[in-house]
Amino acid sequence: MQTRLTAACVLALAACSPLLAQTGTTPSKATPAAPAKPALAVRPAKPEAKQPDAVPGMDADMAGRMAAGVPGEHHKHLEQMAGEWDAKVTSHWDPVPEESKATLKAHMRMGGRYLVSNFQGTMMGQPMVGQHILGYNNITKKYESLWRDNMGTGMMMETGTCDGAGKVITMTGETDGPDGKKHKSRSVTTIGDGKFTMQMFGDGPDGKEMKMMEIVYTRTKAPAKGGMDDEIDEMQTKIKKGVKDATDAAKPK
Amino acid sequence: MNRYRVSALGAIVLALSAGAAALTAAQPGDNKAEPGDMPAMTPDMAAMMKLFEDAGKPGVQHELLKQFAGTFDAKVSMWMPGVEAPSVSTGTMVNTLNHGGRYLHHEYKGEFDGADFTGSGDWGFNNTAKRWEGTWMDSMSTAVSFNTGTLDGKRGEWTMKGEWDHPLGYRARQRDVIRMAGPDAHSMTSYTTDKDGIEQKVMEIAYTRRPDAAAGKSASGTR
Repeated sequence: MQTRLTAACVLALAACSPLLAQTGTTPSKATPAAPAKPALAVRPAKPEAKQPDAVPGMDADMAGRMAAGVPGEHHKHLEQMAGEWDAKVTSHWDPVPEESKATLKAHMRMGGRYLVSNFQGTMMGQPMVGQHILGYNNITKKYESLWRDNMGTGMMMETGTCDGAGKVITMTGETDGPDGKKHKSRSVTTIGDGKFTMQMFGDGPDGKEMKMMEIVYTRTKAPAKGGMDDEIDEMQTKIKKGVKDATDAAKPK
Repeated sequence: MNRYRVSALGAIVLALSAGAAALTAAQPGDNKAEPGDMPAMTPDMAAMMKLFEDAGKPGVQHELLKQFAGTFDAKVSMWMPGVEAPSVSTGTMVNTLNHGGRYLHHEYKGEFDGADFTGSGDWGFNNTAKRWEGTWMDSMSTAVSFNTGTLDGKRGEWTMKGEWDHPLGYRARQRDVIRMAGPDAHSMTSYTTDKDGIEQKVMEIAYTRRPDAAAGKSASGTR
């Protein structure tokens, strides 16, 4: 819907390439547009399209966009967190840390581009459902994340980086609080073998950063093949056939 | 990663109040709290909790999201630079209300140049920032998009704005206009402003509700 933001840009802009490719008369030689190749490779049904070379100046432009759309090593890092997890949540903002249990189901989506994680737990005694999206933007060269849940109406966006091995991801952000102030946040995710830990920091009462929360995730299931992408595909097929209640598949789980 | 974002924010603000409470508690003459006791809720904390609760409740704006719930056929027109006629493709958009009616979740499947194209996003209203917020991700990009906007209630028209980094090193601006055209149809028109400050219409999507499928169901199937 409204959020066709990227879709709009990427589509309209990226559109140049394939369309040019279609009208191109000769397959281009290896040009700097080569990064476009992997992008085309994600289209399973299509034979490799020709490189755009019809309009001068368009190649670099398009190559950039196409390359920016190709998942790379950082998207592989995200895969480490796909699957199902049990979570132990420790809240540190109380004088006495409080513990609760939660589960997390995480899928790679859009052909290995984004990690979509559905969280189910409790927050101050209330059932809590939340969804986290984590990606790596090839253009800005930053990790980008979004969080939203059933306890608030605001989305939270953060950006960050990882260490060389992709085992530690550090994100920072700033959000408007209902008290009218900006609140800084920082989180550090450390990925181990069959588990990962997320530590969450914020501004403490004295204005200094303090640890607010720690979540330890332990793997219970490997990621399903195809995962949510396949489920959504199936849903779309059912809808075309007029199957009732097919859209339930789109809900967080 | 940061699975606890918003509540984390809650935590932060509560910590602030808790700190205030601790200071109060530390004043001479106060009874010492036993370890393990929940700190007594001070008026400040209670007020803060109330703020959070109110900010977290779906309101009139979230009611408006319901009209978009359902399954829609999409007709997508895209304009390329220098080409007058749009390229047209079709797709299906499934919109469901999620997270207790706070967000409208989009699942789009269509095509691009004859190949599969999938996209997904969310749309909601932030009670605190008093703005509409939208996200988007798709199978042709690696960006997690976030944009914000307003509603012109008289016109039944939303305007969502965002910025994104162009591979050629500039910040492009995006404007999406969503128009209601009755209970079963709406459209979205997208404009992009390039590095020279020139805005162009790049895409228009016409959505029409599918009469079959689970159209009415999704509105009630909130979670």
